[in-house]
Amino acid sequence: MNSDRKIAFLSDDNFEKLLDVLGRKGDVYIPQAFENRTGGLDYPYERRSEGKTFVYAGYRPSQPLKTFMFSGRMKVAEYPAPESARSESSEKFQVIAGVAACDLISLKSLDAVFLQDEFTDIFYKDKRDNTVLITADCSEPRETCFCTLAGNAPYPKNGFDLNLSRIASGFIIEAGSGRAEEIMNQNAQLFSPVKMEQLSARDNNRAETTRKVEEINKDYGLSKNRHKLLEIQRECDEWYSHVRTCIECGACLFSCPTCHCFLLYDQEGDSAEFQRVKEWDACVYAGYSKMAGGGSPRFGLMERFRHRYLHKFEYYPKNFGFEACTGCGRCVEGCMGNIDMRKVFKALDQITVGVR
Amino acid sequence: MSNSQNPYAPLNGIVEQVIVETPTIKTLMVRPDTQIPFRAGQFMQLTVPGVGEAPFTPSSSPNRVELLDFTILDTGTVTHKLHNLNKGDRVGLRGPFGKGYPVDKLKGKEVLVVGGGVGLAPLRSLLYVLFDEIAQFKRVSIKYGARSPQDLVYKNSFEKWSSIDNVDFTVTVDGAGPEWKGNTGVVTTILDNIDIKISDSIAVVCGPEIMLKFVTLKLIDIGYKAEQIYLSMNRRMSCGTGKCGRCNIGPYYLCKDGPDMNYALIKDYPNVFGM
Ligand SMILES: Cc1cc2nc3c(=O)[nH]c(=O)nc-3n(C[C@H](O)[C@H](O)[C@H](O)COP(=O)(O)OP(=O)(O)OC[C@H]3O[C@@H](n4cnc5c(N)ncnc54)[C@H](O)[C@@H]3O)c2cc1C
Ligand code: SF4
Ligand code: FES
Repeated sequence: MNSDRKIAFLSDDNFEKLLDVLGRKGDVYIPQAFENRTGGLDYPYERRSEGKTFVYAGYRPSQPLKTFMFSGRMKVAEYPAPESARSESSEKFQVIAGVAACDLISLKSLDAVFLQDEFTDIFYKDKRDNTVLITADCSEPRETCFCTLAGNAPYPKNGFDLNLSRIASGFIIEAGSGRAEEIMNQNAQLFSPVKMEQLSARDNNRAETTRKVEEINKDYGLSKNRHKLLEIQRECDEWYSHVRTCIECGACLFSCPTCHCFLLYDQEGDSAEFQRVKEWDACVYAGYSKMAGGGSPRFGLMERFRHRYLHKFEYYPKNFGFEACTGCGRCVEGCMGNIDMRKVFKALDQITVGVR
Repeated sequence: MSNSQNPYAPLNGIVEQVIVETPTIKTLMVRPDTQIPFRAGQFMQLTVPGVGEAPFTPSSSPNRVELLDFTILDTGTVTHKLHNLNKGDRVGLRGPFGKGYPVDKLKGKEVLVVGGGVGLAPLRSLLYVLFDEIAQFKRVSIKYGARSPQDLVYKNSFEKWSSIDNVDFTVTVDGAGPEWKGNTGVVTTILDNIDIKISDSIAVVCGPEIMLKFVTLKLIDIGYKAEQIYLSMNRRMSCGTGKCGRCNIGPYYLCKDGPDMNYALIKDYPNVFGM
């Protein structure tokens, strides 16, 4: 880890006090524990309010981080264009606490799309600039986790404001940005110096969690050269055997932290005559790329299903130099058809033996 | 934040004139509130207020920015509403988007321009650019096909274009009555015996998907290499800026990297010509 970074010990109580302080600047979102249908626990983010305290789950929260950067449906324009320049910046801070490494890294994929070149998405940029990210190391990976296969680790390395590492009766907290250092300086009374044994407890947990994720995924190589593999196997029949149970629900795409597709549509306005709305869309839907006249470049379900793989593992590397998969496992967890990306890659790998 | 910095917000424009080209195609001449410079082949998203947007490539010269022509086939919701607009009606404009035609690559070449139906509209913008600097190009050979004589756009310009030095213009229709004295047959039939020096040529093609496919096959058949073919590809579009995801061919986003694509770049990706 970066040794220049400001690092301290923070007790559970003092972390709540820190959230109190940050809450004066904007909304604070924290993971809460909820029993799911199978009797296990899920950890959705909720807005912090009276009586709600931070739950350290050791596992990623339910919602992908993107939900805080662009909501499922949002107004993005009003027209006829107003005469005078009008401020659309919310300038309101939000604090998201408990973000896992697999979600933090998704911002790299989203930034590449929304902050690129001359057509910056001003709404995304506004949220990005005004969000304080408090990440946390994982310790309780589940069967669906595969961050290590995706080339990531179960703890954040860069790009956070503050990171939490769970140790006895509190956290090691580390500042990863200038504004986070400022926060730590302004609230110095909450922090105490980190002890050597606390640091080694953190490092042990990181190593142990990494080992657990690797153990979970020992049957899956997820292939080293994924983009090459896809290039070779784009047209193979294997795709048909995996798409069989897909019901075109789009759960894999909406829950994916890097999926960003949307549709713009127009309607009557509330404050102007008309308004334009940006709504999440998904490439598995037949209507997504259907053209006037009914034709579509991805007419068959197999082609739409396959597109998710090609886009994330072949096209993203070609366009941006990295893959758009973080290994969060939401697509595996949420799929009604029990489709597991790792198994798809494994099958593709098996039929490609000797070809590469 | 002003609307001009918001990539989703349209600028205002006024329909200044409506030209009926064919029973299903009209040209709208639109005066934008703010001048919008564009390159031939770049496209705009045109908004019918309260209805929605659809992408169109201006058919006018990029040297005339105060008034943009859009030649539009009536084929669905937005295009139908556009056809119902009259002089003085308001539209919204976003863009220009995309790269536009590779005019520099055409310099010194025998340029083959192939259009199908309303596909001559985007190409007209390119033709104006080529005609303005005709000495820069060895020749410009235009092949245009439509379903019937009454479906031909810009009929009044054909003679004028043909009379320009180093420009030749051939028209064909799929079918016609006895009063039609010209060629009949789909556009690939007038590519059969072209007298172009293919090794020194670049082809630029725009038209419906099915026509793009068969023209490409024909061009390859008569000796064009994939690198010598530029296609105006069709995809559903929404954002125009490489963000909404839907307009890709392989790793290329037509709204950003196209819509005119070198065939060599795209030919090995899935579903290039759709279904
Ligand atoms: C770069 C580019 C340049 C083009 N240039 C030209 C040109 O110069 N001239 C020309 O005539 N054509 C041009 N086209 C084609 C033109 O854009 C289409 O014909 C047009 O988009 C059809 O829109 P429509 O609403 O009339 O058709 P529709 O068939 O009604 O709609 C097209 C698609 O949008 C969907 N859709 C329609 N309404 C809605 C809604 N309210 N909400 C959600 N989805 C909806 C439909 O499901 C359909 O899949 C161009 C296309 C591209 C990509
Ligand atoms: S979650 Fe599963 S069933 Fe739903 S669209 Fe994705 S692959 Fe298909
Ligand atoms: S139109 Fe949205 S990505 Fe091209």
